[in-house]
Amino acid sequence: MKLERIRKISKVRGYLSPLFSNNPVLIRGLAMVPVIVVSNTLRNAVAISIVIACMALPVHLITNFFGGKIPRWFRIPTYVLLSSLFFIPAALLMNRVVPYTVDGLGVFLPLLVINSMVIGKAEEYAVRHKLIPVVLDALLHIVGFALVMCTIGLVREFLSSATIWGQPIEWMNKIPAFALPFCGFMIVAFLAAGAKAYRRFTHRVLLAAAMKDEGE
Amino acid sequence: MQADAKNKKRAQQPGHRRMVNVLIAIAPILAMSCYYYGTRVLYMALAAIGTGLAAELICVKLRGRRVELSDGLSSVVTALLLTMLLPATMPMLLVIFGVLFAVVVIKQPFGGYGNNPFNPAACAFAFLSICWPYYTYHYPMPFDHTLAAWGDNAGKLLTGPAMSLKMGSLPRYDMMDMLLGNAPGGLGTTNILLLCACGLFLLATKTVKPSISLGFLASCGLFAFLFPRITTSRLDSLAYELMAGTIVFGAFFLITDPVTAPKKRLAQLVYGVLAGVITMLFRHFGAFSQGLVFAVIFANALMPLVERGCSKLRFGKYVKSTPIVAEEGAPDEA
Repeated sequence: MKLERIRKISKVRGYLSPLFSNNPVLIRGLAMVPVIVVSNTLRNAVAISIVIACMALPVHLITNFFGGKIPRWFRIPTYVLLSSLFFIPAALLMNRVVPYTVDGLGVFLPLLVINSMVIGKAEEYAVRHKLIPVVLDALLHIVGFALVMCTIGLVREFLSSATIWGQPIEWMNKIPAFALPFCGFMIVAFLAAGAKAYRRFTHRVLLAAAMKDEGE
Repeated sequence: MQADAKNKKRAQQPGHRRMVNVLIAIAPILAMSCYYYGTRVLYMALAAIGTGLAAELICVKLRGRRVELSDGLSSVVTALLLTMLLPATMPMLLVIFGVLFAVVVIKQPFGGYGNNPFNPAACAFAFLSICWPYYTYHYPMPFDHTLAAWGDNAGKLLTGPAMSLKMGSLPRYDMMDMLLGNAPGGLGTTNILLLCACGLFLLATKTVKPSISLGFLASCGLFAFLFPRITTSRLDSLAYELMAGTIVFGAFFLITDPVTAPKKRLAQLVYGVLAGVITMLFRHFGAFSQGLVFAVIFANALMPLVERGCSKLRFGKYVKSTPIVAEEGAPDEA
């Protein structure tokens, strides 16, 4: 009886894993470049998250519909073409929601077209599964990515220039180095360590419950 | 089980003796800087040591290890080395922040004492100088006993002799003054005579390897002699470049850190010379007036390469690694 419940829990946990315990950035190391380099303000982080969200969902959907019919050698170029197609409305939307960030993002904005989170996930998951899991998976991955991106953006903006979304906050000491990429590496590393610890902890709790159940 | 055996083995290594020797060598330098700048230095050192010990304790506990004597000693050494590099007017909060950075970010994530790939004190100083170059590279004049212990000391700050060299002008301090430490500079880096005495002590007790520190000093000197930045004479350039900034301090305390330095003698010599050249290049072309800490980090990163390269060189002869010969009778893959 209890074992059934544990199975159910771990199934739900498997679906929800892209949020924390199998986070695309912190655990799997996908799409590291924008997360490390251009997450220096919350604005940039939100802009990148919007572009990724607007690109990933349609690309995964189309891949799910037609991906199986494309010959394998031509799949990856197709994904790149698709994502560069959806990049145009995504960038326009981003410019509407978060204006004046294009200059700050520089070359990293167009580089999102060949992002491993969109293309790698499309080849790895979207082609081989049914529609609902693909949509769910894409949405959760987007949320997991945006969560990490915005956390890092918030922390770095707050520490480096003592502002949040451009609004100054009373703070005794700015730490300007947090605007530099090496601090992005540092924060990603610490967050990844935290995610690993969480993953190990939940795994251990589930395992202990299962063992106890077996004993009974 | 394996971790326990490793810990026991590490505890038996003579690392304690080495760190105690370094602490003995730092003590007179600390006393001398107290004589120069008053009791504020003592407060700085105490704050740094307390922060270092507390952070180390918490981090080791978090990693689930037993706290050992070497952890505490190494954090005290790191804290004191960082304090000796800073000017006497450094705000207390930034001192604490620097020590926290050294222990929490540079040392503990890699596995604590004995496993850190970079020198924690050098990294912390580099971080502080990137963030607050005004506080890190502006010094008060020695024998200014009016420094406030906790308050703001702006308005009493000067640039050091290394900055004059960077601008291409002769430092306005006498050669004798600089030997005796009567010039603005980091807390423990100005008194060259005392530093040399402490360095001799460290060399005599075999705490530091002569091939690293002397190779480093020699290459810095040669570089200064060959490419002077001041126009008077090459010998002036040699003397001032070695005495200004942190070169002598770094040669005996930072670059020789046994955790981050190579183990083979030839590799040590190459490492020292390389670090010297990088230091002088940072001084010539870098953004800041001193490049020692950045050069230390750079050399730390190159250390495995140097060690591997030198283990292949024996008496000037390049020993080829033995080619892998296919076993006879093995199935042919083609």
